[in-house]
Amino acid sequence: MRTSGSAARGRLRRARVAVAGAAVGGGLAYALATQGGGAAAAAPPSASALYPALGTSGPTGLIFASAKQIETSAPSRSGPVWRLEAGAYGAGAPLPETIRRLPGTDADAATWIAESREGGVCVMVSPTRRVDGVYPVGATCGDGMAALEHGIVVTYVYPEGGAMLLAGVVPAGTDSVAVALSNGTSARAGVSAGGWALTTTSEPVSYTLLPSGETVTIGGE
Amino acid sequence: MRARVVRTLAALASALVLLGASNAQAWTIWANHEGIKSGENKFGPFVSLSATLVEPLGSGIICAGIRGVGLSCPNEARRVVFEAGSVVRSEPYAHNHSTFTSGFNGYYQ
Repeated sequence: MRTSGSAARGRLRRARVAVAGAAVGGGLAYALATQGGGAAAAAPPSASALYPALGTSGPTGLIFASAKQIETSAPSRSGPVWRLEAGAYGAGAPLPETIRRLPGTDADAATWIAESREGGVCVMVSPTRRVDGVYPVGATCGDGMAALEHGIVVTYVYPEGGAMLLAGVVPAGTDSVAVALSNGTSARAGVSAGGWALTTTSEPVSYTLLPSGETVTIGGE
Repeated sequence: MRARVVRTLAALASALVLLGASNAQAWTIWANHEGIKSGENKFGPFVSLSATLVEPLGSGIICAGIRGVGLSCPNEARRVVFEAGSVVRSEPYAHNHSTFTSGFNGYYQ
């Protein structure tokens, strides 16, 4: 993943402002460190500071199931499933108790945000219709400041080919996301509660956070 | 008192080890340090499975999927989970979404 340098610095400044703002209500250690004169090294913002949706509550729309239940009762024939055992997916995966549903920005995609065991942020996506009789879920997590500042994207590709769902989470202050596609066109998705999603038939090449203008390249070096 | 604390800690450590082992045993590795070319799919065995995950071993974006159910990709070289939530008869697979050859470990359960 590559990002533009000046835009990244601007993003960092805005992120810190957002964190400081959030800290007024939340009492975050980061804000306490920076408000004391700024000479001391500031702690990096936490995932929950940059992603306020992590602090929300409400029904997730997920079915939390044990490995035994998945084996015996096929719960994902009724809805998307996530395993409830702690550590079921190992490191770098969404923690069940932190999963929060995001408002839908694409009718075909259900999306969630979560924290990882390592303190990173995760994004999860599921199609809103059954595929081969089930509602599959894709999930990935990013740790470290770069991932927190640039957001995380996960793609679900339908087995029949053609269409795919893109879902992402972006830090506070992002209003929309412009996605450059491999066919030379671009698509724009509005951000709601830090989440966005869109359906496309062309692979994503990069995405730009707006209004900051920071562009993140997808697809490796 | 001290012996009781030691016994408690020992029991706790054993429980944690067993817990870790049971989680580790739940996943079967089907691709161990495999290389995969740009744009290539690599399929595992035809089995009963309900989830797959892949771990990238380099800087390539490696996607995790189940044939016939779909595929999930991260936006950079990161672990990705693909949860079907029910047992299906199919194959776990990985796809290299990067522009270069890279390595990965693949698991299913």
